[in-house]
Amino acid sequence: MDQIGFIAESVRIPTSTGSLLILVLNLQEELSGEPISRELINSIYLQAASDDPKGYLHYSDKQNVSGDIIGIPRAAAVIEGHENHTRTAELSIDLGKVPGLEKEMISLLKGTIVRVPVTQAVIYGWYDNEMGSYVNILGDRAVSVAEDM
Amino acid sequence: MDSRIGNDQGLKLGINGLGRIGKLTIWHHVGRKYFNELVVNIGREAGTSLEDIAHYLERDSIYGSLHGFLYGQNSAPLIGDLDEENGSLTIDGVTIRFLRSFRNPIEINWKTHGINLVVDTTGQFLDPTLPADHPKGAVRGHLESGAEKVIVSAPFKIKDEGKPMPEDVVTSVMGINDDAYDPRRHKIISNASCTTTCLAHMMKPLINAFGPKKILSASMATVHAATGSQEVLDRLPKAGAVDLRKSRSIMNNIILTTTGAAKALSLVIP
Repeated sequence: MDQIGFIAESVRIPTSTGSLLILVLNLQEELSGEPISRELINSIYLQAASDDPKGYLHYSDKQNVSGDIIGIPRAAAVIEGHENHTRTAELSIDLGKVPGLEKEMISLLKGTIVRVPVTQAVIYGWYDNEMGSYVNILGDRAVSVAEDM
Repeated sequence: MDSRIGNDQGLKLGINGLGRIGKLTIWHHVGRKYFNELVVNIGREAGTSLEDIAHYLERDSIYGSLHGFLYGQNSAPLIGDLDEENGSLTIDGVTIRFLRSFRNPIEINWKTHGINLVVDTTGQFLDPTLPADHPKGAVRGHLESGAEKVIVSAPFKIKDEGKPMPEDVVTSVMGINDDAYDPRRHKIISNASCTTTCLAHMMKPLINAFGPKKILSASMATVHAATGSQEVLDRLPKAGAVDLRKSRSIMNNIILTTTGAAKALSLVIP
């Protein structure tokens, strides 16, 4: 995670609980292969939510507002599948311009363009910052520590 | 076997603080009934009698009534057996005892109440590098006064950033890096923040699917509900305040603030 250079911003708004996390990732695609689409992202979350042994990850395909997720037990994140989206752009690299290559290589490669797809994925996740998400999970923590005492 | 209250070892839970997190933690454990007794340190008087504390526990501006939250519309109030002298009451069979004398963890005397596990929800004692007898109080004070384990409901805040993290301290998000907690080694556990918890659960499936190398860059923004640190109306900033937005009215404002959620993420997903 350190290498990714994560940036985080926060705003506070006049609601009493219920928060939204908007996650933006830039993903490098395979040079040959299926592009990363919103359907793929949503299927990853849907699968992960159904596989989650403790049920902390939830996936929703409904149109939710913040109040809708208040109190949902142990929902560390409710992924708003309806809103998730992706955009794919291309990096164009002229191999003849790659620094550090030998002169011979450069003349061979000049004009060879490699196109690298980069996909930006925007993912929305709700969390009830009081009871539904945090306090319920804190309760699980207390019980888990107690069991090992 | 009937719905039993309590765990096999008869372990009780200590809770420091009765703010939003402390109170809702009581709600959680009253519903769960893993602990048959909760000892809650408020550290001061509240209202004029135990009845005032009972009312505060019974109703909630966000979640409604305690009995409604646990058992639905047709249920009856659950708080009873108010014992003003002992500062205790029962909720749905769970005994709750209130301590109202000391704010400094080292003075709370958890031992006499049979408490060896404490959840500190005050947000006031988040520096595990400070000694137990630090004049303003420190999280290690709980360990001195009887707790074997302390869970804090926020990320650690180390004042002197040069200091290394002590060996008996860990930050863990449930369902993400549960293995990081070693019961033989760790005495102080940070449960991280709500935002880090959400972020970690959002990142994990993508890291598993694509691998960290495919993630070129990442950023997040949280649109976050108000917390107790907000002001109702504009106030004069505190002496030495660097973030002036913290003193502005949360009513009718979008207030920019900082979050340590991304930094904290690397503690739970390396």
